[in-house]
Amino acid sequence: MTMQHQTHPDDERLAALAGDDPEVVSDAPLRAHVDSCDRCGELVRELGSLRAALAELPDLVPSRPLQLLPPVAEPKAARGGWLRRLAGPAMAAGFVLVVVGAIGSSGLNLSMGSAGAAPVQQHLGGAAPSAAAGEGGSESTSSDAERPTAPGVLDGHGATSRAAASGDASAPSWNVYSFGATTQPEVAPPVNPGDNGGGTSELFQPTDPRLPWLVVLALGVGLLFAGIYLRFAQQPRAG
Amino acid sequence: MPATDPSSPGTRTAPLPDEPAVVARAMAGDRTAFAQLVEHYQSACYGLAWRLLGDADQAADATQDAFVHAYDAIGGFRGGIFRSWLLRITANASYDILRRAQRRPTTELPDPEVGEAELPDEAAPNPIVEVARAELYRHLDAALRLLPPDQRYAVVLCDVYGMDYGEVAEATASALGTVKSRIHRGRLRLRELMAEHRELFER
Repeated sequence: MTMQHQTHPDDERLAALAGDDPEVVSDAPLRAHVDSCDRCGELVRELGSLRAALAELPDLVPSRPLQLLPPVAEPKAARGGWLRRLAGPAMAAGFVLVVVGAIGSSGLNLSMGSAGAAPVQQHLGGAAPSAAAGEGGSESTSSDAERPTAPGVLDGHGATSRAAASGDASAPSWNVYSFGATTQPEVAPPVNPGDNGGGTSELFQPTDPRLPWLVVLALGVGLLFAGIYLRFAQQPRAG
Repeated sequence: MPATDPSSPGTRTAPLPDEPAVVARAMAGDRTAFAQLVEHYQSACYGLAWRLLGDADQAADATQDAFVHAYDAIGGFRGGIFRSWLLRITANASYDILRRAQRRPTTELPDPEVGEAELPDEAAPNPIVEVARAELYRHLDAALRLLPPDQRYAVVLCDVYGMDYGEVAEATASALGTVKSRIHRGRLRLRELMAEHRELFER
């Protein structure tokens, strides 16, 4: 049985009771009042209905499509990206060096191995043989005469030739740096034991004029492979 | 337009049948599994954000932020109900947006779509009851929007999404007593706002 009360509990406590707040639910006098008061009982019932309705509010469809997943992190192009960017120039430079080195070394081979050294010498030095004979030919060793290279090319490289002619084997004797210009030091390099007079190895001789071209060739090959590696082996990591 | 989930109009999203397994795969880094989870619960998250913020664009932003935060934090999920965990993250993301908006107050035009609930589909068993329920939901959402933000936050988290006082206090960075007071006052204010639609509760 309900009745009209002169005083009522605080409405917030009634709201707490409607929400089953444990602190308030255990308040027996409050519950007794609500059970016996029309006004408070009605308020608690309405609040209970309100809470029940709130708990049923439906989910809502988003107003716009949402991205369900964050984007995959960009591949770390910054790290290693500059290396990959070097691949093209490296391959191009390597290719050029390979071509230059190949032409240079093969040109030397041709001129060194051909019997037409004399025309080349003529093209370079004109009446070289006589001049060579005048400058250093008299100092030539006997082995020089057996070498296929004519001494006339010494014209343009007197200093080097003289150094070589003086017997200083340690002096630099790179006296050929241009295509087809084949010169040899006047003094033959030390002969390897067992060499049969002028049979020195053509490869890897310190004085081998092809060595710079071979170095260029090797450098070009290295650059080419490095470029290929950077271009194709250093792929960005996905994910 | 904020509408109810078309797959289950007028209802809350139920858990996935194999949810623990999907959650485990998501925790192990399976992006597909994570996408499956957030796609399943995006209506729940958006509904919470919309009711907290009262703005469709802000709600979508908050939901999107919540997905990103959830993706970052899924490895630390300690079990329990995934939906509640995701809703807590959404509440935090919404609260962040609300605080930013309060620091930069702007004049907003009223959203014409506010409170619009999806009409029940034709297959509903009792169209009259469904229409009345949809009407009740629409008025409730409209009344929630009229609450002060602090009270709305507390009431929505507690009475709409079932968080306890402690969870609401954590989500709103407020003291427990403050949260209780906001919830109680919010309920009373909501009752006043719904007084003229009291008959809808009877159905």
